[in-house]
Amino acid sequence: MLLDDRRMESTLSTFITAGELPYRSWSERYPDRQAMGYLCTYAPEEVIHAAGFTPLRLRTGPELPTRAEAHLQSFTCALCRSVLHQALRGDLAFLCGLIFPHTCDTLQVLADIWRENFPDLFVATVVQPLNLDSPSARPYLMTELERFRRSLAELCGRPIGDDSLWSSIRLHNETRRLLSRLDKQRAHLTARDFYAVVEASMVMPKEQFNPLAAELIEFLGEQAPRHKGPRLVLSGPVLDDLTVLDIIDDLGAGVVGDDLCTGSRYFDQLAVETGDGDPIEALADRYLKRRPCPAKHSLHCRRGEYLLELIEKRQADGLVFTLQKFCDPHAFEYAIVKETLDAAGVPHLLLELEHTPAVGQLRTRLEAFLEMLQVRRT
Amino acid sequence: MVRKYKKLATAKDLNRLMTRYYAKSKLVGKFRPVAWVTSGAPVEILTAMGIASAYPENYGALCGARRVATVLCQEAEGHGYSQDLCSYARCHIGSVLGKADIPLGGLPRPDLLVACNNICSTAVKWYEALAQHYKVPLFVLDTPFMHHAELEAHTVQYVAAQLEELIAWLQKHTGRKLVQKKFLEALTLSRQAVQLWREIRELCQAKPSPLNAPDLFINMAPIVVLRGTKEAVTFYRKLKAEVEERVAQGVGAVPEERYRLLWDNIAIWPRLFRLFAYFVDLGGCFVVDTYTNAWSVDLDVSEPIEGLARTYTAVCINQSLQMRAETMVDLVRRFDVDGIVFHSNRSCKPYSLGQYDIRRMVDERTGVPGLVIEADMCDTRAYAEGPIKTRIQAFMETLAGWPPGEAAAQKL
Ligand code: SF4
Ligand code: SF4
Repeated sequence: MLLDDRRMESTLSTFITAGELPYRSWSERYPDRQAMGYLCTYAPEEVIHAAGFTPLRLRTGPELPTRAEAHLQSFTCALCRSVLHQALRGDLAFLCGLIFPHTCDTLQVLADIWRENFPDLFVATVVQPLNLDSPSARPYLMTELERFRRSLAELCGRPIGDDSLWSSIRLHNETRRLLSRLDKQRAHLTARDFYAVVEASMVMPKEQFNPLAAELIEFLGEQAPRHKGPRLVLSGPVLDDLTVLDIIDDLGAGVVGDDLCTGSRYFDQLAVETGDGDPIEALADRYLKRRPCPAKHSLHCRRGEYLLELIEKRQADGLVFTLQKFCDPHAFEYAIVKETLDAAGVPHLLLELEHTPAVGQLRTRLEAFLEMLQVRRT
Repeated sequence: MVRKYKKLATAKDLNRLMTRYYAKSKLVGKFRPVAWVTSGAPVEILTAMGIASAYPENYGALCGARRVATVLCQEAEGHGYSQDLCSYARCHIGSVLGKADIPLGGLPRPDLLVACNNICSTAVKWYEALAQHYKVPLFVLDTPFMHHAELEAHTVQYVAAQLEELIAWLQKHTGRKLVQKKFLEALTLSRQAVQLWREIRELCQAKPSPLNAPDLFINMAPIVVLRGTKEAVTFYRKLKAEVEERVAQGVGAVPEERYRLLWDNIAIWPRLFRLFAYFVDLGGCFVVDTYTNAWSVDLDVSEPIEGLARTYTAVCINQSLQMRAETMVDLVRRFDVDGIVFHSNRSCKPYSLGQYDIRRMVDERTGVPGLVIEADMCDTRAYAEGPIKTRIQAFMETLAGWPPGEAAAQKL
């Protein structure tokens, strides 16, 4: 048991180190790998992997994004400012290129700024459809993915065969399966540790991540749940600064589910992996089926109702919106979803996170919210 | 209102036209279905089907110009809409949700909503919120962003297919059919208006320029809300005749045009005249702008659906920074521009983010300097009069070369 505990600690610490920012030591850690950066869960990781690269998700770093100021106004989200800052500082010089899928207005501009300021770097854009309900979105998306596949093939000087795409699909599905299992066992981890594992899955080569994650899941079965306090669901865009989670852990509450870009939206839905047919079709269908980001439009996804279901399934006491300041799609979504939650009588709290969160204030607000939930419980 | 330049005689016509438009729109719902549409939606289809269009963005601009936008924005903020969101969206949503007295009593209630993301993705979220509020059907037309100059076949196909879906959807919800003859008529009228608008703008290459930016901003209303109608064509014909007359007589929009300027981004509506009057005092005339330029792209009517798909996808703000910089370089050269003023508009991220890089690109290729001023198109809380004035003053001094007046004198 003791041995297991120690091994679990060491697995966790491997994950935590893997996700640490800045990424400067990435190449030393994975010397035989070439990293291809990306910024959002709509980036076709499988295609990147099949081309021989390791997809690496860029995230908000701890440093103040001062160098981005000459390019992006103050009303830009912290994520976009921070990754540009990291690149201008030279922290991302080891990347072979950068992939920009299309989601929000800010990311769209950032792709062009990148091309302008790093003219020698490979920058590819994949303009995924926004109108997910249109029957014509599927053929469009497939052509767009094919185009992306061709441009990567050109970069690496060899075609990307169906077979290698199928094996990448299986590899990535495995990661998603593991993360979904972990998602159901998260009560056994602190909130911070759970999200550190998800972060690691977006940074480490999946071949290395998967076996470690499987091991971790096995150990977890025997652990006692970590928290007794109120059970929370989180909703929002990326959550790169884990300070909020530290506070939640510290206050004895638990995160039992989420609708986050750096959480369940990353591993929602598997692609078909039968190995016959067209792998591009399999990828396209996964994108159309997965729970969309609010920057996409689908009348079939009613986030409010989805969240109510999740809250019920996981027996949550309340919901916390962890929004990024200046993130338009999620700010709108908040106002839309709020109505549904209010009507259903679900308590919720809005936290608008800036680059350097005001820890004291966050703590006070969370404390008050949790107290209220505690009272409701008894 | 300070108005330090010549008023157009057609201002009366514009007034009459817009008053009639808004008066009519009060009643129109009784006779025809009403659709709320974004400024870049393919209204030619709706017009041809006899569906009336109302424009929440235009309403936002109107609230801004009447200086009631901020209060309405606060109303929306009270309902959970962040202060960092587009102020057209906020003030319009505020006008919908609030109980306050609102300009024109608001827009006629919508039966349908049509949003196109060729201006931004924000508009789509805004319309999703409206759809939830009014419980009416929403159609989203997705025009994929152009990171590269060429418009690819699969993109055109995707947009064209959605246009067909839109037609079927409109028919399903209104019972009205798209008659080919009416469609072509609307397209032709739209094209004529756009062409006239383009010609009017081109006339501003004359020295002195017959129009200044406020003229362009005010006179663009019909091209947005009455595109595809006879009234728009008639109005622009008359306006063009007057502008031509000014050019022939050598009459300038401002009393003394010393610097020819280019304006980038949406107007600052609550300060429209005051801000531009300030430039006029310093001899600056905005001979061209990028915002009203967006409505001057020619429409291909030979293949109506595909032509619409191309035109509406390739609108300026749906194109990369690189292409936008190129457009500006072209404007600078053709209009002999001395300086550029970039309105860094907190409200409109797709239009404003990237302006610093565009400024550098255009400067490198033309040597024409640019000034970035931080403000907002409607929300007066984001407008700091003092600092803006100081920065404009300093910029105009650079244009002149110090001491002031010297370079100006050389130029004359
Ligand atoms: S979706 Fe939001 S957080 Fe993500 S890049 Fe866009 S603005 Fe930033
Ligand atoms: S964000 Fe910009 S383009 Fe979009 S509605 Fe607002 S002002 Fe218009």
